[in-house]
Amino acid sequence: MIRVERRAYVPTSLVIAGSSIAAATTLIATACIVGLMHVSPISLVRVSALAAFGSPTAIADTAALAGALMFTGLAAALTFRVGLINLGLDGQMIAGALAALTISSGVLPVPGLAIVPFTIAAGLVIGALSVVVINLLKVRLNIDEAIVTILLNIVMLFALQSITGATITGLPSIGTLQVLPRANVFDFPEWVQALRYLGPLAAIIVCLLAFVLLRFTIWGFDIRATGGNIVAADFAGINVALVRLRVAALSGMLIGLAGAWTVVGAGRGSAPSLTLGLGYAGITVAFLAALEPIGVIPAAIFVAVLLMGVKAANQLMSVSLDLATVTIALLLITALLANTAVRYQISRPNRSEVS
Amino acid sequence: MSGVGGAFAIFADTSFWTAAIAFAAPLMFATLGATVCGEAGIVFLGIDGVFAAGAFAAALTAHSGEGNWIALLAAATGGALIGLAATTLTSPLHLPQRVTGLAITLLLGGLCQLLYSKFLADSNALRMSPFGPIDLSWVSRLLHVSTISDLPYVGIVAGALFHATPPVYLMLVLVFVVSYIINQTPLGLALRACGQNPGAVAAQGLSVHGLRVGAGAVGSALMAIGGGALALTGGSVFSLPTASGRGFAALVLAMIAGWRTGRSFLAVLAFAIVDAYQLQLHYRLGSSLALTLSPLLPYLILLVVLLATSRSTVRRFPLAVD
Repeated sequence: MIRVERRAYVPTSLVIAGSSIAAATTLIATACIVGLMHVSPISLVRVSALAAFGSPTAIADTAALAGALMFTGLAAALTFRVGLINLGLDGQMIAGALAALTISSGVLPVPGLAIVPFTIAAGLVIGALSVVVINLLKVRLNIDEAIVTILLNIVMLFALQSITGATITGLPSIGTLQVLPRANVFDFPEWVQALRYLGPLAAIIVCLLAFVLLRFTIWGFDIRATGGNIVAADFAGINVALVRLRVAALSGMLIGLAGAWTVVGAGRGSAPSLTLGLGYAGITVAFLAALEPIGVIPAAIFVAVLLMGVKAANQLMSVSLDLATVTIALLLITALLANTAVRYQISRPNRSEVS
Repeated sequence: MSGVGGAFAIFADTSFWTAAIAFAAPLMFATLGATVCGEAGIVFLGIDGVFAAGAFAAALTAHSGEGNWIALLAAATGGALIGLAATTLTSPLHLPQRVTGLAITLLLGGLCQLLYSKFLADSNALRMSPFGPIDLSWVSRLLHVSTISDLPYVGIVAGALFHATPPVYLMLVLVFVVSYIINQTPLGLALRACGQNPGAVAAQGLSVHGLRVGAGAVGSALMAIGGGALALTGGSVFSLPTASGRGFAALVLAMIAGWRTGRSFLAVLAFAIVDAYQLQLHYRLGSSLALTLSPLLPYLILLVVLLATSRSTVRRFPLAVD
């Protein structure tokens, strides 16, 4: 007699194993799809590895992508933990980037590099506002935040495409580069150019800080309690609404920062470009990390390598970029399955135990 | 002044109403599917992917030489299988409903785009002979309501309605069938109880998971038929992008209607009229700067209406896993 039952405690090693199996399954499935398209999976792996790690520039690009994914992944992980199903990270990231771009293209009469903090602040504020508003709409108007944020994604994507003059031809695939309409007016000296490579480092530090916040502080305890059992948390005297509001603001700032960073990263004259779909990829990162801030770091790096590989395959082997969307979706489903599966165990109770 | 007059003149155009009805039919199928799922307590965010996949499957089947009805059937079968898999994941296996739905939308959307671009790359566009309009004007003569067509506007609308394509009539029939099953039969009662009080269903000795999986399969089949109808009533060359985003719109319309078939029919009509109107504006005025954002108009209206009505229409399902 075997019995499937919920685990009282899920060991970390099991979570890691689950996510690893999810990642491996996705890779195998992707290889099968690629094989069906008459492209050799082995040469795809070679091209991907070269594109992700082949040169210092490649490594820097992969790291930059991983950094952005860490921001969106952490933001998604935090909101999902407190039961706010924000699927609109893409739209919010676009909003943050556009806000930062507006400031940086010379609206404010601020000289020189002093405009950089204002640019970042614009991204932070717009990002935080957008998620906080969604949270308030959920609390006050009882909206289904998942579908509203998805609709807002479509609206923001179409708006961005119209602003940039692109013809609207449906939803772009994950990993599409969208050049933003205006250039910024920063005139970075050489040493500031190097700063943008600090983005990934900053993202790792933010993930570690979030880990400390969740594990060792009272705020973090409140967040974990709210995520674990919202009724119990409310009963224990935790202000659940305030916890959600805080998390919404925090995750919104992370998303806005990811958007603003793309603007700050580009030098004078060169129009900044935004990688679309990092929101959905971020949600995937969050579930691959089992909603743990520290797990976001390896998960983001894995997804970044995956995306870089598909992009390279798109350029060199004429594989459609839609393969990225398929791979991310497969990864999301397998990660969700793994997250659920590790919570259960199969036990064989002894006869004496049963009687 | 002439601009305003022109804006109104669109309503006096039969082609506008034909377009509106043609837009409404696929959406209504998908909205019916969302309603079936919603009544059973499933908010299926995979609807957009299923819609696109249905369109693609129908186009592919028609392209390979099968009849249009076979193509619709193929779309429905595919949709039912996807719905079966998706609801099995979310209901008995307890995966989070909305994120899983999103993943399914991304997966199906991506796969369709992948296959579609493969077809385009082989310069082998998906060609087919779409459903032609059926002349049903004899019905109005039969019913001696010919005076209707003399009335202003009403005649124009009736003219469009009596020369619609077969999927439009299938849709009208299905609205009544689905509405009857949900509201008048024991099965419908069990389905609605699944959404509103799953505990009561379980106490009755019925399987909540079984009912939900069944509703998911039937609902997805309807959504896929919607996609198929879109593909088979458009031009003779299939283009996938027209399908994207519409599934979500259908889900929101079902939500706005509070999962009621009759109300969602009106909501879909209103949405289709707005959508057809903004397209006609494009044709008449050319792509002027003020109109670059007009494809957003239907979605923005949807959002506003959803926000305005959500307090009264959105139910939180007691045992639904979010």
